[in-house]
Amino acid sequence: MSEIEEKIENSSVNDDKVGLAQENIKGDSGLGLGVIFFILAFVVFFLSGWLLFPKLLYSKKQQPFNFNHRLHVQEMGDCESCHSFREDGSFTGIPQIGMCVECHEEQLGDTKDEEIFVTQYVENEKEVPWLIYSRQPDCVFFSHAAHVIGANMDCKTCHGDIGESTISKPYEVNRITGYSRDIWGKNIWGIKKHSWDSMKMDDCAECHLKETQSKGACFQCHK
Amino acid sequence: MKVDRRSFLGLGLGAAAGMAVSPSTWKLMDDSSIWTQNWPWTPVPKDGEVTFDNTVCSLCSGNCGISIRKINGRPVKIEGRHGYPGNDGGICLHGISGLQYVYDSSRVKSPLIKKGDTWEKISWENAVKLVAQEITKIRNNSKADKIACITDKKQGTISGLFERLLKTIGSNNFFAMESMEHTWMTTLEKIHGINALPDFDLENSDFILSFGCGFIEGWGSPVNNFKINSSRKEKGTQLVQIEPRLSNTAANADMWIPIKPGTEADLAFGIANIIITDNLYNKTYISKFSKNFNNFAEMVKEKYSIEKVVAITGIKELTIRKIAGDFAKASSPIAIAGKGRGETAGSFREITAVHVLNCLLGNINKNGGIWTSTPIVYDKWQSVEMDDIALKGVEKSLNNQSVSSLFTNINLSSNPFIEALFIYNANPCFSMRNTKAIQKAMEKIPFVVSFSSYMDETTKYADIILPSHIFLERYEDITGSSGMAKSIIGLSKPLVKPVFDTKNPGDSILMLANALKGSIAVSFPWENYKECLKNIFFF
Repeated sequence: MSEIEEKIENSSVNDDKVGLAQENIKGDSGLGLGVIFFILAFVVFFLSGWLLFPKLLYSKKQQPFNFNHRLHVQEMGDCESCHSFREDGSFTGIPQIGMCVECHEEQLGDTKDEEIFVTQYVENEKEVPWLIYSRQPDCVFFSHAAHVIGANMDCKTCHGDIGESTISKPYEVNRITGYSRDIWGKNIWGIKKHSWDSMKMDDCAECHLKETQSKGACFQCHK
Repeated sequence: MKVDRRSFLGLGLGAAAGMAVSPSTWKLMDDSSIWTQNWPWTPVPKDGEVTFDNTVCSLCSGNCGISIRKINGRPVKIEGRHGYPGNDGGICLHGISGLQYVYDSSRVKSPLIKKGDTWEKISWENAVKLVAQEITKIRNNSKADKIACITDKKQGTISGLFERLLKTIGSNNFFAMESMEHTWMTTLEKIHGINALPDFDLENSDFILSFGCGFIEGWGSPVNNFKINSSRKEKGTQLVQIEPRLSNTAANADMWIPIKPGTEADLAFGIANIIITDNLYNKTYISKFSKNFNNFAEMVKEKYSIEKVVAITGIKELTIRKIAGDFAKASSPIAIAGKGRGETAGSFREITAVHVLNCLLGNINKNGGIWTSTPIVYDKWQSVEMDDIALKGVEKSLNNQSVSSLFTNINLSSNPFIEALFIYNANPCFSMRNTKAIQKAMEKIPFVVSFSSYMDETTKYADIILPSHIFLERYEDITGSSGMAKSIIGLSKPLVKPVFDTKNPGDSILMLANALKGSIAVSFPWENYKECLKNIFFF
């Protein structure tokens, strides 16, 4: 080893030692603050993604007036009294005003909601622009007859306790997709406790797998 | 502690990690993928209650029963009506696309008046008032007999109302566009001496000899013919198509005979000659019903000998003999004529020559042959009130002329041969021979009122257009179903709310009659066309 080389090697070793020691002191303090910033940002963004984001994602709309499902079920007996099947097997969905008028030609009770219904819709022969919580995308074919009549399923399995409700909850619409919040479900994590908590394709597949041992083919629903 | 680059890195990483483990990232991914599947500008048909409503299609002479599928009351599809005579659930491509006519861009959207080279919108009241003024002026000048009307057919209440209007105004010049049915009726009258419609029992025939009929291309009752054609193989029915062109019918036939254009009658007479010479005709029928059979036999022998027919038609002798033999030996053969869709009058000589073949084999009023049916009369009109002008006019006006001779006369005459023309559901400038001459004649008529739903070749020459509802928007009695072994009367009813400012032609006539006042208005006592239809329809 030449003198010069030795010199260079020694000096670099010395420099390294000094540099490392210095960095250790500086690095400790820098990392500490970085970690604090990291944790702070993590917590803020995690919480806003969880709690604030759904509030921004969904806009709320009120139904034209409140509808008391519990009262109607008591009076009419069951769901199918109003949500009936047509002769050809297709499902009527929300009844048109002609069916309501069979009882509500005039106001029966004294609630504000019924007054709105009778004065604004019945008297003007106008259909009520209900916002449908469980409306599926247009690309989905769904037959109520196959499930309710064919598989003898209960309405509650997919629609939950709507028949017990006394007021109409606000309709929440996804600003990006335009779909009702009920399709994804109330829980933003997608965690469900009941079969009716969400109505996504995976939910259909889950039940189909359980009941028919197959998730089903694409074209069964996407015609 | 100093805020440095690493602190910012920590902040950024923390934000990214926080966001990543929050549900928003995954939810946004799902939402954005759904968004791309549902572009907001993609039109999506509205969902709703499905209902079906029945009516009769009047796009052609088939007059099939149709069923219209509606969603929330909006028609979305036309289907064939099950159990309806003739089409029984079937439908043709034209019928399926019938809904397109509702929104056709060439529809006349409101009453129009011609100003120079352009059209201007006008209200119904003013349009009808102007027509009434012009007609009154012509009547006052003692020229009521120079008012004419052309419609698509003579049967039915709409045509009845037009004829009645013309009569009360003072003219007999009521014309219907000529179709093969007219020529067939003339043939039946000349040969059998009866006023009858020809009903072709193709369904039960085992040998169809067609002289250029577009059997599966819209001739007669198209859907009925499709069904007959598709069951031909099963039943063993032969179809021989004599036509210069390889049409769809020719391509589907068991045998296609490409003949020199315009020589069909000669071939028919030639076949008749062979049937007679070879003693293949129905002797019982001929001895019972014919008068001068020997004269006829001599005539065809002399004029239509096989050599001559071969030279005229360009068809080989063997082929002619084969057709004649097969036709005569079939158990229920039928010879049909009426070129293409049968929408033009065709040649009287040709149809007569073809019908002679049916007569020779005696397959008249028999299963699988030609049935002669008396036109059904189901409308009962009360008598009309006519004032002096009307009486004189009707006496003076021409009668028994055809549409083609009317246009010839218009072109020949230096003074206006016709002062005013009403035209409804007819397009002579397109469908008749020599359209240039027809156009010239149309230009010579001083005042033309069109009741057309569309801006067509003839309506272009109108001075005022009083546009009609299309068939899906109106009530009308539909007669016809030509080419079938049954006579059917159908009722068409409105299934679509009128899209434009149009009227039922019946209502337009009533409005015009009222505006003409006096005895004319008295002759049209109905509140509207629906009431008129109810009153005069007595079945």
